[in-house]
Amino acid sequence: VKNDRQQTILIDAARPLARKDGLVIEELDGETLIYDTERDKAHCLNSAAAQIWRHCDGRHTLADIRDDFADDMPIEVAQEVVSDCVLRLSRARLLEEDSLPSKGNLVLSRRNLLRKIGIGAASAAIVLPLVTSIVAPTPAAAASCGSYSCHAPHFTCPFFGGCICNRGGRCVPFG
Amino acid sequence: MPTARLKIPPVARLVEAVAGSWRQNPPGLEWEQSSLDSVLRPLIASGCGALVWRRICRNESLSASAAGASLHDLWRLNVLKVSEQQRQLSLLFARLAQAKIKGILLKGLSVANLYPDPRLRPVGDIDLYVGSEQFDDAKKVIAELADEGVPAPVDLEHEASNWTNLSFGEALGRSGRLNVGGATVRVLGAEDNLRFLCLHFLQHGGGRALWLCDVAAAVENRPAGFDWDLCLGTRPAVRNWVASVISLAGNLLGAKIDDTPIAQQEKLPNWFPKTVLSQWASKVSGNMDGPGTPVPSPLGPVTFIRALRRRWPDPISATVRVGGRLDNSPRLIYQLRWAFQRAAKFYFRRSPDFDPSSSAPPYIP
Repeated sequence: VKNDRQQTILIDAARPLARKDGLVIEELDGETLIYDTERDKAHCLNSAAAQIWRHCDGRHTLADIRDDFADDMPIEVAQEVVSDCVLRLSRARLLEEDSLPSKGNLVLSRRNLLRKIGIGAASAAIVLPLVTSIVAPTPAAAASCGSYSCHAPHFTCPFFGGCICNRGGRCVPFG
Repeated sequence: MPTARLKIPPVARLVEAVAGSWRQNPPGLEWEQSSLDSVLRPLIASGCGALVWRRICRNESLSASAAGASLHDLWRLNVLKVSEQQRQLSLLFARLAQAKIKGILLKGLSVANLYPDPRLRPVGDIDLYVGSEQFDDAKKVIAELADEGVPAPVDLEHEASNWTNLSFGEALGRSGRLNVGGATVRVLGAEDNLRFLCLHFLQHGGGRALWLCDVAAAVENRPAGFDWDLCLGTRPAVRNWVASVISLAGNLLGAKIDDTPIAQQEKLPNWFPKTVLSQWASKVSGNMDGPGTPVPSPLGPVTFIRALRRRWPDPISATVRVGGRLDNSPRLIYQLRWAFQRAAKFYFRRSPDFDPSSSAPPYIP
């Protein structure tokens, strides 16, 4: 408990800073989609999470962000929700690494968080910040394409029918 | 509707889902969840996931299902990857222009432009066609970009005449310009592009439904004054190939080809759509492993037969790679010829005298 409290205090005083470099950001149907080109990972933020992420400008403390977010809910609920969201953003590497001094075990499971703040799953999807990773297989169904070399340009890659050998000797998805 | 006659349910579902999906307002799909589940994997492999998402997104039960969520994620991924590739293309073509290198964008975003939203079509690497004399310069530009932290995945072609069936000079003279993410890029002219899409589809054994959608979209969105003679070319074999693929798009996916000369084309050979459907039905596209596939060693009689089976060419790509016609004659002769040519290539590749840089793209007479 003591550790938790210490971590919470540290995070409250922190000024999280959203990453800018190496990200492709697109708005789509009320969601914010982010592609991390350095890690080849994609994330989806609902509007609440995107709002928090945008507030992570390195000037506002976590407490400031929580206060802004508390308009629509009790302050203690906002504290849980914002802390959880910021930590998830950090885990998704969407914040500058040094801008959140304490991270680690404070991320609650979604279910536990909902139980703690007493809200149903259906309402949660709308009002609570949601940071999800986009993990659908690529259309080429060939996530492993890139790590294999090949020797026959323009031919289907050995063992990976969804990939083709390019001139550089790398298996790439058909396109 | 031709789909009703197909007796391979999962593939018939795939065909139903994909048919017309390239159009501005495709009708919604009113399926049971189980139907979508059954076709999800081939659908993902087909490259048409985002196109089909557009057809189910207004159906609450389908869009909320696990399969629907996967298609939704494909759409989201497409949006991001296309945005990233637009940025890469914009940088690449600006650098090429600085270096006075003329390049033509093939496939990818040049074709995506034929769809109502270019983000509906997935992108892979950037296929760039340059003249042979500028090939090395283009390679340097790409390497410089990579050094600067812009690793554009470019597949540089300088012998694409074997794919487009025309020289770089001809392709350049007839090329058009396209705005991609704020950058102007050169793309093949409409006639050359349609021919190229058809040949590309055949060379890969018709392995992906997306490529036939590309053909359908190119036919339906062709500009006024489209020159069919230019598109079909003068060589009888190439005319036969291009016409067959367009006809297949009409028969299988319901592409509107009634107002084209292809509508008068003789009936497609039965084996052709069947082979395409069996390719789509498999989880992966294409069944050619290519000469680069490792061969077990030592090569005894049993391992030889196994290796041969794995490398046995499909009848479509075998036919076009040895210059045959897509007709009702047996395919075995083409498959044998192509298998023999590949075996010879494999033999010489293993020879110490073999120079990998001289590896030529597939031959089209």
